[in-house]
Order: sequence, then structure tokens, then C-alpha cells
Amino acid sequence: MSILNRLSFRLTAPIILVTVLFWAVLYFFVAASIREFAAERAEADLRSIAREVLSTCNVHLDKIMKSGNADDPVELRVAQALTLGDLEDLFLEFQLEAIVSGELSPGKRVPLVAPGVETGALEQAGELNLHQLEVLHAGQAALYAYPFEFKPWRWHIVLLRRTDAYAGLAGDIRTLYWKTGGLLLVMALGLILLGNGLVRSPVNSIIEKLRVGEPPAYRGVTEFEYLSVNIAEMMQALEDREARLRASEARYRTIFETTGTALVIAEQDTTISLVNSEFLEYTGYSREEAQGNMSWMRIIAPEDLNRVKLNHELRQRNPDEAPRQYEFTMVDKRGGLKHVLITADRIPGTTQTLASLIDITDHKRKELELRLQQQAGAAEELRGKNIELSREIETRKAIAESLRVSEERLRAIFENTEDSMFIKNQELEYTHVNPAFLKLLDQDYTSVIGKTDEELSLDSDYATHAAKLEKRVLNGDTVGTEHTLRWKGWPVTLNVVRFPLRGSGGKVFGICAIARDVSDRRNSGDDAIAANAGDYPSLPIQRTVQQVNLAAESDTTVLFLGESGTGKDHWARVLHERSHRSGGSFLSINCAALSPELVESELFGHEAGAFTGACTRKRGLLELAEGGTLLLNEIGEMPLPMQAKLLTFLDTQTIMRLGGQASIPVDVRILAATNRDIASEARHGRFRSDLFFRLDVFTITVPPLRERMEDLPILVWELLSTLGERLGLSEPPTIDTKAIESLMAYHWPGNVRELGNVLERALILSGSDTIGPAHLALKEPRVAGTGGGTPAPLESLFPEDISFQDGIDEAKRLLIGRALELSGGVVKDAAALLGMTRNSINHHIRSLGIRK
Amino acid sequence: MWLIIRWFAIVSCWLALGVGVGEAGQPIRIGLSAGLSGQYSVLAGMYTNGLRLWEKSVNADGGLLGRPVKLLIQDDRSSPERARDIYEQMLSQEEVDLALGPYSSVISKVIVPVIENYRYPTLIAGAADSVWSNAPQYAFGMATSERRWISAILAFLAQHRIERVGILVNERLFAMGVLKGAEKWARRLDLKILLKERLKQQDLEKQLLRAKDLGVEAVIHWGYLVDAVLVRRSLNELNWYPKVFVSVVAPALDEYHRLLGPLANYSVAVSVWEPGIASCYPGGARFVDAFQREYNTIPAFHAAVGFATGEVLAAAVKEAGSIDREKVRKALKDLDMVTIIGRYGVDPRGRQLRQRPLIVQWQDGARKVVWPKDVSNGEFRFPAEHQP
Repeated sequence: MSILNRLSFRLTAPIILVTVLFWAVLYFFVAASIREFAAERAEADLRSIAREVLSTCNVHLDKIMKSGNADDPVELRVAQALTLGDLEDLFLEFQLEAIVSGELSPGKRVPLVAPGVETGALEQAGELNLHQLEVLHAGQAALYAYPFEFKPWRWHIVLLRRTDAYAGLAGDIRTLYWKTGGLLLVMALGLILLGNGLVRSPVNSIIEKLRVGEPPAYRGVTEFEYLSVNIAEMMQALEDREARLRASEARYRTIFETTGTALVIAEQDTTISLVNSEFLEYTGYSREEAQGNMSWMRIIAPEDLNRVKLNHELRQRNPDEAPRQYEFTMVDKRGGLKHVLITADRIPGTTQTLASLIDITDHKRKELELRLQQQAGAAEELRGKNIELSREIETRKAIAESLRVSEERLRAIFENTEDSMFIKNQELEYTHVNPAFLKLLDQDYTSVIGKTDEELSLDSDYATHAAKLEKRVLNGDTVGTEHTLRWKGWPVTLNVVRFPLRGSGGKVFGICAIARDVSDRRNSGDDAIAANAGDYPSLPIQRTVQQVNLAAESDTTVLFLGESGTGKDHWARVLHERSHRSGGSFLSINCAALSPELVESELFGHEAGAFTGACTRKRGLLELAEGGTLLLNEIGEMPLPMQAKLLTFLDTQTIMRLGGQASIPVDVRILAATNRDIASEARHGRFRSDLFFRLDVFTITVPPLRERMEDLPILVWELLSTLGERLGLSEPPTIDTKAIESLMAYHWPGNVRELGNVLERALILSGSDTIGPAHLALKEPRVAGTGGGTPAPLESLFPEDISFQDGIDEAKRLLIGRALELSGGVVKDAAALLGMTRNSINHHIRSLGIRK
Repeated sequence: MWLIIRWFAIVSCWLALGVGVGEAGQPIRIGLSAGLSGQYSVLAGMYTNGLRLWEKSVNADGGLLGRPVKLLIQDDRSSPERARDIYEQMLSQEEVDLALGPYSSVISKVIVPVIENYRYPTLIAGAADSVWSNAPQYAFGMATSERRWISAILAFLAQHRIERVGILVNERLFAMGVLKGAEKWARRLDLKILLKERLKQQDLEKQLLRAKDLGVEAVIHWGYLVDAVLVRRSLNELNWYPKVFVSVVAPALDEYHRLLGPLANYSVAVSVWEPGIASCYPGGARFVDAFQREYNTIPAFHAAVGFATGEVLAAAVKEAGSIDREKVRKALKDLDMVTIIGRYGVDPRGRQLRQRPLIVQWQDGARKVVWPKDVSNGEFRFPAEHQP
């Protein structure tokens, strides 16, 4: 009974009361939910019916689809009419109103089924959002409306159900809610009343009566039992608490007295209220002197008094901020000074301070001695470190000096070199330029730094071309090119090598370029060629010149045809010099002079390790000729696999180095030359026909010398001038008219090259005198009327029984021997006489066993 | 003293036993009226024969809830008033445990207030919508409602490209508003109703001529057998053969052909059920066979409706587990089952929703189901020849 009572009065009643209050408060939150419950129920119902409606429609749709009459308007109309009939039945079955409207034309709906639907609802129904439950107000009635569509027939269907249909449901839930809450409230009130009536009130009255000495009146046994038990428990609890307090007090007093440390308890005004015997012994005061009469500030030395007072005050105001432990100097009763470590704190719940005092006089003395020793040791260590540091400073100074010297050296090179040098950042702005470069540009330092080529108003073609190259360099490539740019109207040709600047992490942070002005070199050679070409009087060569000029205007591939030695490479160079690429490089390769393996490497370059012997990366001629022209001499000799690769380049304008993986775009104009009937070669499959057609865009035929004999005197003069310059003659060589006549009489099977060889040989033989017919050493005079091409009779040179190969070898031996004889055994000159390279003549000398 | 006690004990036991035996063995009494005489006698006879066959069948299977079934059929002489009196008497005095509806919609309509009053759940064979116009709680339809008939006829005609129709309606049925939905359906199906009049026997020929003059392609007659025969003969006498002649119900009866002979050919009717397609529904073929053996004639749809009515009532009682009328009512309201005439299922008012009408045509002396296609056993012959 007692347990039940306690549970009822102490636990159940408050819980129920709180629950009821919670219930009432909760209503404000659930009221809306109850209202919404009806709408949700209506939506669920209407959605379910909508599914039924769509199912019915689909049954009819399936039927007409299966019958194959879906396109028959009459059949469709009948099917739709029957569907509407079924829908009407459904609406009846589910006791709801509905509107089914069909779309006659876009946006124009006509009601097909709307039994009993009020006009107001009908008007609103057309504007509802699909698949959303909304409430329509038509007349006095409110309707839940759920619109959806049957798309195959473009039916817009709105299911309508009166909201009244769900009003009862919400009302029932609300009633149930309040009934439950009410029941809980009644239970709570009942229990509270019961509690007050049975316990509190009797207990209070009993206590009152006991106080005034009246005997208490009980209503029943239960109350008495409850009261007795409570009083007994209360008394017992008080006794227990008192015993615990006594024991605790004795324990703490013992600790206070026997702790071995001087302890003092002081009041807020610093008056000492309690001390232990250690304190008395330590300070020399008696208990009577100290307790209740003396401020404990009296034992503080004057120099520490203010600090200790401040700490004490701070502890009173804010114990957390006051220092718990500190040192001070104490004065005992006899005036002796002692170092004391005090640990003080407020006794919780009081304004009293408990402080323990520890004598640290000896400790302080030892500490002082130790500190002095440490200071001595530290000074020694510091001195050692200072020496070490000064050494390091010296080392660093040396390094800095070395760096400064190095930097000075590099700066001196940078500043004083005649080559132009510049450094650009990743935005391609000049960050460093040397005086040579400034001189070349005729600009001062400040007007160049921080600017790009474009901003410097350099030649726009150059700026664009340079920017393209420099982007490649920023990607890690090293690029060497020649540029001719216009500066103040003058052409300036620069041979520029650009390489990337890398940071310690290997990341490219800029570009360094070394540019050399090669304008003079080019002007002396190539421009002369370009300027002179075209002064020839013969008609065939004038036609050639016209074609060259024409080809120079475009960027198309040109194929030079003509006999060996006619100067196809010369005209290719002329073409280059007259084209807009004249600022770029002109490179040529003789496809016949290199092995098939080397041709590929020469043309396309290779990566390091691409093949045995490829130790470093090499850029091919196509790369080196960036922005210029590449002549493929003797294209007819090019190996077929290489032809395919060349064709790919011509189509894509990109190359891939041997062993490389990246395609590199290059801007090179390709010229080709051959003395073979390349068209016939292509027909016979010895030359790729697709490459032939690609090259045969523009063909220039260079006439043989015998067809342009009118040009011979001019050619002789040009060649002698060039040869004289090359041989370092002080005056230009001269030639007498008879010698000219002899030359005119010769049929020149070797064309201009042979003429050059003959003149060079004659120049050597003449020994700086005028060249006469004897110096020419021509084989035989030209046979008049043959038109050329007749070979020299060999019968006089070779015996009849000699084999072809031996004849060839003998001829080679004779020619090389003669050339060596003429050049006085100088191989280089002999090679020049024979129009071959030094390597070739050495090869032949070795293979034929000729003695120098 | 001991003798008195023994006598008392014996009497008590006897009474207890006797009452128990009586409850279990007493037949379930099912009452109804039908026009066993009078104008509906033929059709009502078919209806009651169907019911009798069901009674025999169910009793042969052990009855309902272990009790035999007893049909109590009274002749209302095809009179609505007489029928109302019969039901009033029968239900007020609780002479029956359960009730069934009479034949014909006209009579059904008048007994509905009575069954409502006495709360007898009742299956009604009639199909007129007007029976349910006052939203009764105890009347449940067996056959598809008439509004489905007119929609079936008009859809059927539209499918055969008929555009203009004329409708003549029996006066009493007209008063009940049987053609309530005709205009709506004609509009949906793009048909033109050029004539819609009450059938007046004395002016019938004039009405038909007017229809002919208006260009009517199909004549629809809505009425009973006598009217239908009259209209068909009049058309013949006028020598006018509309493309389609439809008479609701009558051509669905053998009587129609017996009375008209070859003139019945090409006539079209709406039917609830046909023996020719009986096998489409479970138990249908067995019913036809049993009916023929029992009555030596082929059952008309009224007979099938009668039998199906019994089937539905039996299912409802089994569902309810007793003959408590409220429980039976609830069972009838919620029941969804297939009978020999098709599916049973009613809307909240009690109107039949799930049973489907058929369209039949007389062809060479035989009645063929020509619509809907999925249950048809003959092709529709159209248009009618001039001389059948």
C-alpha cells in the first residue's frame, strides 16, 4: 500500500499531468494535421479511383488497337462512347461526380461527361494543376477535385467529391483526441486530489497539532503508517548526518594538526582564526597570540606585503584568478627572514582562506648556487656555438661571394656578348634583355621590359610566328630558327635559339633565347642569288623565272624537274628568297645521298634512344626549317616507306620524331627536285602515285644549259666571281674570248654544274692569270645541230674487252686521279672539282684503291 | 414427486429436440410475385421457370445453409397494383424469409417502396433505371440497366454507319423515362434522332410514314412483344424496309418468330443472354441442357435471369452465413461473382454494373448474337432485304 501510494503521489500524478499539458499543447500542432488528414484521405481515394478510370480507358483502347480499327473515326467514336459509358458506371459506383472533357482543338475543351456537376465547378476544373488535389467552391458546396489526363484520347478528367464526405472522419479523430486528453486530465486531477487529501493535508495538520501539544487525529491506518514511517526515516537520517559530520570534523582536525606543514586559516579581513602547531613553531608565536587576534599579514616581509595583500583581495573577489601558489619572504616573531612557498585557496562556501606555508629557504639557496653554476656552463656552450656560427657565416659568405662572382661573370657575358639575349616569362613578356638585344631593337631597357613582341610593334608576322614557337618552348622544347623581321623598314634576320628555363622542380617558368643577327650573311649570299636570278637573256630560262616568281607568291608545293646539274636547287633557293618565307631557313636534303634509314632520321628527327646510337634527341630538317623552306633533292630516290611518311606530313603538316609519341606541328614549305621522269616512275609503281600527285601541284622545268647557251657568258662571269671569292683571290678572275667561244662550242652534258667544275678547274690551272682555252681542258667540241645529250666517245678511253662494272670503276679512277692531280693532291679541292662531297671522294678513293 | 420430475425432464428434452429439428429442417422460404397470367405471362413464365430450375438444383445439392429452399410464387396477373399488395402482405407478415423481385420493370418499380419499408433485400430482374431512381437500399439489379441497352443499340448502329434513327416507345415505359440517355448517346456517337415518339397503335402507320419521310434509316422500337409484332407488320404493310429494325427485347424471344414467321428475319433486339452463347459463362451450357429437359423448350433470357437470380441469392446467403436480412443485404451489396448470364456487381444504389447486354438478330429463322464481337455467333446481316 505504501509503495502504491508513493508511486501514485510522487510519480504517476506528475507524469500524467505533464502528459495532459503536453497533449493540450500538442493539439496546436496536430490540429492542422487532423484537418489535412481528410484531404489526404480524399487524395488517396481519388488517386485510387483515377487509376481505376485509367484502367477502364486502357481496356477500351487496347480493344480498338487489337481490332485494327484505331484509324477508323467511326470505330474510334464508338469505342470512346462506350468508354464514357463505363466511366459513368464507375463514377456511380464510387459515388462521385466527375468531369471528362475532350480536346476538340488545342486549348479548346468540351465536356463529354459532367453529370450533375455545377457550372461553377465546371469552369474552375479546366484550370487545375494535374495530379494535385485542390478544393473547388461551387455554390454552397466545397469539392475535392483531382484532375488527370488520359493522354491517348486527350481526355482531361476531373474527379470531384464533396468535402462533406470526409468531414465526419476529421470530427471523429478530433473527438477521440480530446476524449483521450480529457481522460488523462481526469486521472491526473484525481490522483493529485487523492494525494493532497490523504497525505499532505493530514501530515501538515498532524505536525501543527503536535506543535501546539494537541494529540493528532488520523483518518485511517494508512495515513498513520505513512506518517510514522516518514518521521522515523527523517530522524534516522538526521542522526546519521550528525554522526558523519562529527567523524568528518575529527578527521579533518587530525589532518590539520598532523600534516607536517604550517597551516593557517584566515578570515576575509586577514585575521587568523585557526593555526596548527607547525605554524606556531615555524613563526614563533603562541596560539593565543596568533588565533583570533593577529593579522597574518604581520608575518609578511615589507617588500612582499603589497603583493600578498593584492593576492588575498583578488582571492576574495575572484578565487579562480588569484594565484594559488607563490613565494614570499616571511618575518618570524624574532625578526628572522625565511623564504616561504605558500599554497592558498578559499574554503568553498565561506570567505575563509586556508593557506599552507612551506619553508624553502634551503631550497632557494641551493637553487641560487645551481643557477650560478648553470650560467657558467651556458656561457662556455654559448662561446662554442658562437665559434660554430661564425664559421658557418664565413662559409656562407664564401658561397655568396662565389655566387656573386658567378652572377657577375654571367652578367658580364649577358651584358657584353654581341649576341642578343633575352628572357621571357610564361606570359611571353620580356623580363631580362641584354644591351645587344636593345641595340638590335634600337630601344631602351624600360620600353622593352614587361612587353610582348606584339606590344613592341615588331613585325606582326614575326610576332605571331615567335609566339607560336615560344609556346612550344614553354612546353619543354628547344627550338632554333631564323627570322627575318622588318625593323624601321630594314630587314633584320635573326638566328634564334630558344630554350626553356626550368625551376628546381623541373617546371618551366620562362624562356631564354639567344639571337644572332645574321642579316649580313644572308645579304651577302642569298640575296645576291635572288637579285641576280632573272637577268638571263634566254627565253627558256626566262620562262622558268616567271614560273618561279609565280610559285613564290603562293605557299604550294613545287616540283622542279630538269637534267642533272641544271641548277634545280639554285632555283629552289631563288623561289624561297622571293617568297614570304625568305625570313626563314632554307634547308635541302639529297634523298639519294643518304641511306633509307638515315633519310627518315634526317627529315623527322629522333628521340633519345629511338635506335642504337641515338644518344640524344635530334630535331629533323622539317623541324629545323620551321617557318622556312625544305628542298627534297632527288625525290625520285626516296624510299617508298619514307614516301608514305612524307605524304602524311604533307597532309597533316605535323611530324612525329622517330621513337617519339607526340605530333609536332611544323610550318614548312616543301619543294622537291628530281632529274628522273617521275611521272613514269609513278606509273610503274616505283614512286607512290599519290605522293606524285601531291607534289605535282606546280611543276617548274629547269632547261639544260645547251638550251640556254645565250646565258653562258653571264653564267661564266657569275661563276668566276663566286669562285674567285671562295678561293680568296684579290681580283676577280678574267677569261679571254677564245675560251668563251670554246665554252660556247661545248655541248655541256653536265649542264651548269659541269660549267662550274670546268671553270673552277681552269681557275686553279690558270694560276690567277686570264683563263684561256688551254685551261678549260674540255673533252671535245660541241657537235653542231645535235641538240645536245650526246655522250663523249668512250672508245678512246677504254679497251673493248672491259666489262661494264670495270669500265665504270676505271672511269671513276681516271676522273678522281685527274682531279687529284689538278688539285695538287688536296682531296677537298678534288672533291670540289668533281662536284662531290669530301666524304664521297674519300669513299671512292678507298674502294678503288687510288693513291693520293 | 419423482414421477413429476421425470415427466418434466422428458417434456423439456422433447421440446428442446423438437425446436432444434424444426429450425434445421425448415425450408428457407423465398417469396415473389410474377405475371403468371396477363400481358407478361410468357416472359414472366420464363422467369419463374428459371427460378424453379434453380430451386430444384439447389435443393438437389443439399439446400442453403443445410436447409431446403422453397419458392413461394404468387400470380400478380401482370398488374403492378396486385403485385404491390402481394408484397405488402408477404413482407409485412413475414410470410417469407427472403424475397425476390417480380418480372418487368414496371411492376418492380412499385414494389421497391414495400421492400424498403420492410427491409427485405431483393434481387430485381427488371432493368429500368427508374426502379432505382429513389436510391433504394434493398433493391439489387440482376440484368444490366436499360441505359446500357440504348447505348449498346446506338453504338451498334453507329458502327454500321447508320446516321439517322427514329424511336417509338411504349407509352408506359416512356412515362418511366427509359430513353433518358438516348440523346446523350446519339450526340456522343454522332447520330441524329429524327423522331422520338410514344407508340400509338391507332396512329402507328402515320408515325412510321413520318419516320420514312424524315429519312430515318433505322427504326428502334422500345416496348413489349405485342408492340414489336405490330410495328414489324405495319412496316411490312407500308412496304417500307428501313435499313435496320430494332425492337428492344421482343425479337430476343422465340415468340416473336413464332408470331411473325419469316417476317421476323433481320429484326434486331437487345438481349441479356442467349442460349446460343450460354457456354461463354460457367454453368451456362448445363443450365440450357437442364432447362430443355425440364421444360422441353429452349430457355429465353428471362429464364436465365431467373436462374442467375437464384445463384446470386444463394451466394449472398452463404456469404452472410445466415438468412439474417441485413447480413444478406450487405453481402448482395459487396458481392462480385459470375453467374450463367455474366458478372454480378452493383453500384452503391444497387444498380447492376457488370452484366453486359447482347444484340441479336433473326437470320433465316434463327437468332444469332451479332454484338459484341467477342461473344458473337453470327455476322450481322445488313441492310434488310425488301422481301424477307
